[in-house]
Amino acid sequence: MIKKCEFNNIAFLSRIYVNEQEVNKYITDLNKMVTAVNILQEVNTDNVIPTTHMTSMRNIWRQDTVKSSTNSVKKILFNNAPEAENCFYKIRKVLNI
Amino acid sequence: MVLKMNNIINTSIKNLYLNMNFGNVKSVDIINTYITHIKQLNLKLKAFVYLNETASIHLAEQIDKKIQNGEHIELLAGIPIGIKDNIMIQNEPMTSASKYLLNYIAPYNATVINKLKKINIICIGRTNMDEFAMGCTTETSIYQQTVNPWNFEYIPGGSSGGSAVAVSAGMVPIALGTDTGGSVRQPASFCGIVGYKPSYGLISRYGICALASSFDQIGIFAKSIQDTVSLASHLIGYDHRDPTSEKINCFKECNLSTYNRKNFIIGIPKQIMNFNIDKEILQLFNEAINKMENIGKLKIIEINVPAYKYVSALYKVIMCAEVSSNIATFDGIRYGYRSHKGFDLNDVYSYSRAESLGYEVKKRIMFGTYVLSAQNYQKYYYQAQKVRTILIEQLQDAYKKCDFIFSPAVLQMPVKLGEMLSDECDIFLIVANLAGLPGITVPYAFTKYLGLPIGMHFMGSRFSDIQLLQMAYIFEQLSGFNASKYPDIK
Repeated sequence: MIKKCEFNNIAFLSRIYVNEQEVNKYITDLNKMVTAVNILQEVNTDNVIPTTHMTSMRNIWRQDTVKSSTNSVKKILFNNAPEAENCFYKIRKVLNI
Repeated sequence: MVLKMNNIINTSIKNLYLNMNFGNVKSVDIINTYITHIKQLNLKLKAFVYLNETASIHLAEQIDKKIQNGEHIELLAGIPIGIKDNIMIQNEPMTSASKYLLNYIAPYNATVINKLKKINIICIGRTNMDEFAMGCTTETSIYQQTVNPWNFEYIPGGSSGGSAVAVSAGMVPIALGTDTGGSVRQPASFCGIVGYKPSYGLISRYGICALASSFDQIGIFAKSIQDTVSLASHLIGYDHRDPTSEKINCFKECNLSTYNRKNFIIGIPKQIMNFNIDKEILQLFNEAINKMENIGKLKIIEINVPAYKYVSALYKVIMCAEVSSNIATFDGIRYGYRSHKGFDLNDVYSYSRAESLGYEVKKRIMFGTYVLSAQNYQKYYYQAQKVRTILIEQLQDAYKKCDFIFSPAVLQMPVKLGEMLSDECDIFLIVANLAGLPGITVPYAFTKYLGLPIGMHFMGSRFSDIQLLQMAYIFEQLSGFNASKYPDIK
């Protein structure tokens, strides 16, 4: 069962801040899901190969060459950015020093 | 004979095309009729979240000029289509019905959109959906609550509820959705129309907002199997931009009249009786089996797929794991919502996601993170992948004995707005996503108790899509369902 300490770690790994008022609701719902999927433990899967995908996925290779991007493409992409300046994304500090 | 405006809505897309070519109706008239219809009905149904009026009329005028000049136009040219709000159309908003993407403008076209534009199908507007396609009621949308056109107090199903309602109510003749765990076929069943999910890999997923990548597939809504085939034949095909796209050209020629019904064997998994199926749905299901056997002269056999028991658990684990991975790209940096709270980069991620994503989305991300975490990976995710293999092998064995697996589309009738659907409502549909199989919901009847439509589901072996559509065509004729009937919306 997921307890509050483990839930806090899950929320941190998920990069989601959770209001204190919502914590218990999440824990209850997540535990219901854990209970529901525990049924999988009864299946003997010795020597079974896992299925990750339905297709035989292949890598798509391209020449390792730099292609120039047009200004119009850059404009479209950076227009979607919450904060940008001169075709650079603006972010807050990465390290807390 | 000039096609009257009020008859446009009731005409099949093939007849609309013929009427356009014979000069009985102009493409502009068709588009104007549908725009008026959408505006009127959307006040009640709330199926559309965005209408591309000006561009649609402009394209229709160009098509009319082509016809006037005697140029050839493709079968679906000038026909309006509704597009689920998680498929990219260049320079148009694409929000996946989430606050996170409310200001997002798509920088390129999805491959399916390029294919539609190539034959001049008119993308008339964007349809409502559950946030990031996570839900089965269309209630988690940031915009509005889409309602069932046959009874406004009930859900339309989801996650592609907007597309299903739009086609059911005649707001558009065809629409696209995405199907990760029945999200096309379930609302199609609840709204009384056809919902088709092709074999995984047949329609390119390039340009859709991913939910669970190993399950996601673009699907089609239409009033009839014939309309479904007309659209599918343009969308299916290899795409080098999608690494999961298949080079199998199984859809080159799909002629619905070339089937031989005596050759088709229908399998009914004995395990489906272990689920709590609504009594009236079960009664209609048995009636449908009798019709196929006695009137259709089709062979019905019982098959054994014990792993049906694990379908719901399998789906929960793998879908949430893939959600957790896919939604990690929504970090508030390159596009989408950014919170102004906090001090450092980690705060940007965590507050942006907390403030812009809905409860259901966050819950699935966290459960996916849980099953992928170091201490739980083997127990849940790896085990689920192995059980998925067992399910696929059992299905492969079943398809050695039968051509299609037949079941009710859903376990229960639509619920009232705000009420919860059963956790296992879409269980028979999810099997197709887990195994990459083609599935199709065909409307069957209106229930006596609620007066709402309900559909039946056929699932074929991998890449048996043509045969599946032929089977669905047979069933469409056997069912006696009046597909030309539209809900009375006042």
